[in-house]
Amino acid sequence: MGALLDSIGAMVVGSLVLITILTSILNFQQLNYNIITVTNLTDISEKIFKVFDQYYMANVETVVGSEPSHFSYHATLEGGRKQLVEIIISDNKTGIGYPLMVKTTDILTNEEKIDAGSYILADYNVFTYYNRDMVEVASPDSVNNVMMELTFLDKGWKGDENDMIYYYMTIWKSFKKTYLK
Amino acid sequence: MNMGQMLLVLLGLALFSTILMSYYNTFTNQIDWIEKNQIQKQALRIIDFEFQRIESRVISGTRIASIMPEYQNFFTPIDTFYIHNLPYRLYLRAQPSHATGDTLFVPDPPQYMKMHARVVTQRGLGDSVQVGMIDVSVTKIFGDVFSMD
Repeated sequence: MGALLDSIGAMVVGSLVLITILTSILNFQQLNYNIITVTNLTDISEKIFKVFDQYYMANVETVVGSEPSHFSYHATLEGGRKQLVEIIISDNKTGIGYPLMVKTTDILTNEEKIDAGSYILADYNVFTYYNRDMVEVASPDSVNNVMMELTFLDKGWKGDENDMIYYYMTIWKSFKKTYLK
Repeated sequence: MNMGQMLLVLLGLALFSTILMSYYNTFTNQIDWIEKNQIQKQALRIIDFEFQRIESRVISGTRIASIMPEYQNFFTPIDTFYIHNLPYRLYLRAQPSHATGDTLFVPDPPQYMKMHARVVTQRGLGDSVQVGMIDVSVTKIFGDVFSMD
């Protein structure tokens, strides 16, 4: 009788330990996956910030269009050629979100280039425009500053759309040349 | 099962639980560091933008002598940005300076100003993340371009 009780006790304790080990392994895998995904999203956001801050928006001359999902302006990019730059967030959902792309058109030659990374955002209304007193404006002529609210996302451990991982980043840019007008 | 065996099982469970807890603790710390890092990056974006705006004003002809009085109190936030439900309180202070950033014996009117910035974000009760401090702030020097001959 004593040996039977010992065996049942050992089985119960052993099973509990095994279940805890398996649950922990799954939890660790999930946590590890989430951490790696957030780190990747952070890297992507850093790249986007750098390319906007130091390249596409570094030398904005005239704001042409100011919509919540489409910002266009004339700028002199690297190489000294004047370009029409359009930052577009498509309102057509592709996969899990809305793709972000940059279209540049050479003013002289009409040559078009599209820079579309694999950047997917959770929302397509990202731009808010301000004048020099930081009052929100809609007209392109009044724009001196812009705010971009970017929410990057990726699938979570479960791989479905109910378990998404988000990374929020808000960036601003002040257009010095527009202050001169 | 005798007493010695039971003790061994209990010790094994205690060791297992300790290892498990230390793993969870490491992950929790990592997540906390990532979150703090994200907040610090966001705070730096805010400071960068405020410096950009000041630069735009200086370039468009606003004299630094008229900008400086706007930024004199480093203990009251000049603005609070709410980003993803977190308040980022921005503190700015301007000081007349030399081009090197030295703030001693600056001629009047000054040709340069040194901007000090810090951002404090309150994540929870008694849990804040700061970028720049009162004594060690994020700084940038602006020249009064229209006063230089």
